[in-house]
Amino acid sequence: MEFLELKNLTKIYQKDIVAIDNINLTIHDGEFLVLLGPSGCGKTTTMRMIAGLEEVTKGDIILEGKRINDLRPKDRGVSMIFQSYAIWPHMTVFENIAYALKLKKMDKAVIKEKVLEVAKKASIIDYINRYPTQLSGGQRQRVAVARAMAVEPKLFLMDEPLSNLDAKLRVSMRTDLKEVHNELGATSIFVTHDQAEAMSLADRIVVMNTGTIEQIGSPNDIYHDSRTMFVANFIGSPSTNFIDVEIIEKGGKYFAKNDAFIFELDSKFNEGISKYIGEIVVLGVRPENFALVSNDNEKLFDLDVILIEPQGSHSIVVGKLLGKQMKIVTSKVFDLNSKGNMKVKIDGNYFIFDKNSEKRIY
Amino acid sequence: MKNKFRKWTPYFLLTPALLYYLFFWIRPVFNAFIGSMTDFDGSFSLRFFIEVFKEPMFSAAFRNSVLFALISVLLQFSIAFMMALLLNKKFKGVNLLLFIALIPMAVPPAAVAILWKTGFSTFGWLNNILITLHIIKTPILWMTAQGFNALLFLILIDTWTVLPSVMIILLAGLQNLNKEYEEAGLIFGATKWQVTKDIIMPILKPTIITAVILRMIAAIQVWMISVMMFGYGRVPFLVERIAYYTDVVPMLDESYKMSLTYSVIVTVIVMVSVVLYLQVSKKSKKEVEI
Repeated sequence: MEFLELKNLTKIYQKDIVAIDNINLTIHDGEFLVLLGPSGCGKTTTMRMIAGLEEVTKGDIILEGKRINDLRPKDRGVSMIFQSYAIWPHMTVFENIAYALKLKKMDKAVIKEKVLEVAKKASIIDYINRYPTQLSGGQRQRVAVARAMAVEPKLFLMDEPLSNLDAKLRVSMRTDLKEVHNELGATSIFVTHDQAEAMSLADRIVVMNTGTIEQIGSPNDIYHDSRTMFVANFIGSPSTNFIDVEIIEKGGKYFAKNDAFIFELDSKFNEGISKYIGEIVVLGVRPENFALVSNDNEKLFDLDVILIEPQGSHSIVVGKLLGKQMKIVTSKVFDLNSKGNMKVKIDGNYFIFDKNSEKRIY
Repeated sequence: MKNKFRKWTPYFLLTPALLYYLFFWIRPVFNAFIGSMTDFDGSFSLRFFIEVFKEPMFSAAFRNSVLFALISVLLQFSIAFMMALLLNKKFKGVNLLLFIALIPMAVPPAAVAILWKTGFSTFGWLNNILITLHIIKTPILWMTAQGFNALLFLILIDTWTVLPSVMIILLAGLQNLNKEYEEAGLIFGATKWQVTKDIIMPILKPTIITAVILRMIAAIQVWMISVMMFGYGRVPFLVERIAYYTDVVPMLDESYKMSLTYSVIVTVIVMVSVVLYLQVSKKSKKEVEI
């Protein structure tokens, strides 16, 4: 039996706005699953339907074998960390954490013990009697985490919980969240639009776009084996470079050709690419899969460099090829004012996409 | 020199406002206090207070005003809060419903009284409807209601009039509320009623206090609908007495002094009630803290 299953889940607003279009998803017990996508892709709506805050238009949500579509939020055994934290401003930290336990009619002494225990875990024990307005953003976030832990839920739902924090705190909080998840052994669903956050937290990532699922997989799968142009573009920073090429065949070998270069494709593509001969397809190359070369024989094309973005450990070279912007990541260190042409070759993995369906060609 | 000038600039700029308050606000109020506590010859005397307290109408007016304020505020707040909660939900036709709910706001009190008077007269539209619907056989004599029934009658009419204004204040407060507070409550085990009681109402408290105080002050000062419905003296109120002395018997020597004294009493009652209410609402906060 799967832990949580979404079957043909659909959400339609006002009769014709389709927010979620017939998605199917299985979540394993103990898994950290991240729903990733741009705003408006339906990731938050999906989570809110699981939480019971949003009505399901069609389809089923099955938790531990039981259909929970019509259960009230409080009867689903889930807890949630909200984007605004939703720490109740009229209650102290203690009362915020204790409220859910009080509603369960637990014994006062037990409540106190439990609250102090989770407060210690979330390191907010020093602020236990303060009101939310007296806390910083990071501290409020910790209160929200403690409150969600106290109820010992079957399922943690987190709706962009880190998006209101500053960059540095965000990175340290996400490590803490992952630790909490591992320690409790709970199942977590995490919604975010930040691909770096998704990559570092997730066991599996679900990439969503306009109400449908683009790809489900481990962070490495999603990155190195992107199935669609959308995923290749959305995951990774800087994102994948897309170059229009024509497929030609010469003596049983396949080449990708445009006005700047001609490139022999790996023989593993032979089967898939054969029906595209003479057609335009999209070559997708991640920025780190280009290499700078010094030798004219090795180069694939010359890149007209516009500027250099130094990142410390590596540099991003921004240039133009056939009028389109390209970004290349290299470990070489450049002078900021480096301009002119650089010799570039493809060195590593690349994708080929169908220009119309935007799906991968294998 | 320049510094000193700067220091006084704000006060200088405030002078027109201060003068306005002094002449048109503090002076008349002060005069009313003095006037109520002096005899005709200007010497200090509590004679008019004693006369007011001795008046049989005073105790009736006092009792009616207090009862009116208590019952109407409680009734209006409860109904308005429920309406605000309903209108805060998103559903089809909510805007039309809001529009309909706000109609009574556009009707001035005098017109309200006339509207209901024609409705409640023996052959008015209310009896007409009830008879047509075969709910009653003979007309009910609404307008001859006496004592507490008459008071209740006025409370209902007042409620009809002011409900939208109370509702709109509460609705504004509700719409500013972060929806995630409510949703967090639902997730963490609260029923809708518990969310309303434990989360929405405490967070909305500043708004609720504003609405209740505004209503309370207006309720203590009620008079016009009573006079418009029943005339002077039938259901006396404190402010109705002021109107009575300045409007109905202005020629008596004592009238001016009596209305001044009533005014002072009403002012004191309003202030005391507001302070008491604020104290009580502050206390209820402490109880939540545990």
